[in-house]
Amino acid sequence: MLKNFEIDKNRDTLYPDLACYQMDIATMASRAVEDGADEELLPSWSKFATDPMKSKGFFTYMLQALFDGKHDALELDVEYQVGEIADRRVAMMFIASANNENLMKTAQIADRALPGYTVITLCGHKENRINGQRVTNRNSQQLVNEIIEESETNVLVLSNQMAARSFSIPEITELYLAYDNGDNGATVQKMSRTLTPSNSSSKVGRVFSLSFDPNRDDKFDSMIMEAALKVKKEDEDIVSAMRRVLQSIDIFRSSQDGAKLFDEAEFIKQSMARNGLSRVMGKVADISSIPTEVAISLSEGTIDVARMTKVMKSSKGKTYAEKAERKKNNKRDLSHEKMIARVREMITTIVENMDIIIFGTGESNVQSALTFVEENNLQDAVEEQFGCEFDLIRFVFDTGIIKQDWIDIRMQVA
Amino acid sequence: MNRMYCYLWSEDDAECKFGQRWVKSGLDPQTDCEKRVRESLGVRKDIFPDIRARGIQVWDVTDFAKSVKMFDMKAKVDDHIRKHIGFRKGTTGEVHTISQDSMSIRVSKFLSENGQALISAGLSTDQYEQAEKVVDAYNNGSRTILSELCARFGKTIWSSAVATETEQELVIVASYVKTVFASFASDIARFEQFKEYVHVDTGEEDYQKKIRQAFKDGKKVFAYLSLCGGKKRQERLDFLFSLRKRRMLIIDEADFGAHTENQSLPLQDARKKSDFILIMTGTNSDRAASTWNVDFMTSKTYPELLVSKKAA
Repeated sequence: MLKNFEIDKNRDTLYPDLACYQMDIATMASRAVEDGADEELLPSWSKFATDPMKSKGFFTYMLQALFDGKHDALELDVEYQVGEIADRRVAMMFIASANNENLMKTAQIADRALPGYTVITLCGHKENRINGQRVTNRNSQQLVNEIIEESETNVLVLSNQMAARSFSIPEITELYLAYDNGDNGATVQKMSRTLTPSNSSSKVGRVFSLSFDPNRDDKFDSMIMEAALKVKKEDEDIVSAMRRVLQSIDIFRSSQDGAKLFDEAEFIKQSMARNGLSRVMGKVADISSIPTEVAISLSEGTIDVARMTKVMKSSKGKTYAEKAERKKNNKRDLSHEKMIARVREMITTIVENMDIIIFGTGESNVQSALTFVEENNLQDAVEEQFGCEFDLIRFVFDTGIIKQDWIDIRMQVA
Repeated sequence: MNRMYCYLWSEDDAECKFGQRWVKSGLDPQTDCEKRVRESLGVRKDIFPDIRARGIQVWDVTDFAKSVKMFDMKAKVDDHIRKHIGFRKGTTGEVHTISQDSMSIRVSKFLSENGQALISAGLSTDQYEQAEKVVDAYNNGSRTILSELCARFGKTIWSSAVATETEQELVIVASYVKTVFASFASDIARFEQFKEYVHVDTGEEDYQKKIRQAFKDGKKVFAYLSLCGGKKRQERLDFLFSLRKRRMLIIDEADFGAHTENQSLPLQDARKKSDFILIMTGTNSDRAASTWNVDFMTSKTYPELLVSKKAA
């Protein structure tokens, strides 16, 4: 219990609500071609980002459908989907895979497609100026604010990476994610740009995931599952925890008949089918206190258990920094980041495949299944399946890097 | 009982407006002051939501008004206070030519020095629970804690609450993002729980003098340290970590610049074993913690906040 502070329940109500929409934009690509656009059907955002001029018919159609309700595409008409006509629309779109050059071109296309909009480009391209100033992460919020205040038009802010953090503009109520896949943490940061409170508790931040294949679009899965893993009570199953989270966030699928709220069971089933749970477990596993030596072993899939157990026990005071060579420049240590990413991949693989061991051994839990493998000398078969040493699998469970109840959760939904 | 309140708001970073409101018994002071601000906007009421989002700050100045014999609906307590603050635009208006953050810090300091109890800071359910966890971890021996807290969580007041609960005498707020300093000080200076703290920007020439003076006066210190490279950064680190005080280092936006070895290694070299380290980030906790040996980690996502909102 804290000595100097009390809970103020009113503060719990200040967070803007969040509504997420999955939008299928594949039809727009084919419609643009049917109407004479000389371009290929687009299978992905990364292709668009590589050469936006090649796909300007699609992009123009999509923007006009989203913001002006044109091209007989009710499933993309945002005002129709949301059920509200806004006095003024202030939207932000992240096209994460576009480089600065191509983002500038994309902005030109958008500018021509949406005459009633002021299109603002946020990137560090040398020719990108707002009110005569070069755009940087530091001044982007102020520059966008100035335009919103000075003009009375609708506004569309386009960005690739800039302004994904510390960028708080209360007027932004629509946030578009125009990329495939993407890191979960970065996606959540981008989504947060529509969550700056504007007034009391009435604001709803709306996030639109523009996807060429909504059935495989997992941008919202990780967010829901991560929250579910964390709010899950001890004796609660994961599905029930996900249901609780889904009662706080609306997730819609856009359709010709308007936005359809995902049935909780349907969303859970689909997200499980996309196999997102293991990835989220890989992401949320607490590896922050693992000593470097152990992390390296995990990333390589090999381990000297006796030695690493000692290292784990004496980890206090042992830092990554002590291992790392001090650099003269200021660049990020990408080798470290890659190594950590591999550790998380390894954890994901183990979580994902543990059901094979449990089902295969006929045991009911992790520990007895691992013991069965040892007693029957089946380590080689397991190593072949997992791509890492058997001892490493035991090690991550014995040390709590992977929680055993996560496997129970995986088994519940398998 | 009726009470006297002062309020502060701004449209931009260059100027702010400081006024007063006689709040009648039974009315919510924040709402009543906001009503007054809205009325004063005349035909520009359309900008009220922006102003509100920026933050309309209020102070209960009842005790102070009584102490200077101005506890009266018609008394100009705001004018009395503004005389001591300075930066008034013109000779009669309510506008001050400094940012709202700077003005807020000055008003809080003035009131606190003149015996007025400040308003009490409350925490949201999630802030409270996270603070409890982290304080427990420190009490159980952890010294380096990583907190991955989503956007809108309210990291400023939360981390300050952790510092207060763990009875820190010197709190060093280090960041690569320069705007962190003003918002940090402004956010917490108006709350009663932080009134013992003096805020010092180590970018100022006489920061050492100010810090020494604060300790001499029996106060505690929030010292703001820019992680941007430069000759003076090491000098500031040497000074701050040479003081024999119970000390906490808060690294804000730790995955943004602050995680690079050039920024984080000098901090690690400077820290003493007993120092409390709180690494805060909104995302990319792996990157934020990449050069630190973390004893304990905690995190909170936005959907979790919405679960609490629904429960409230």
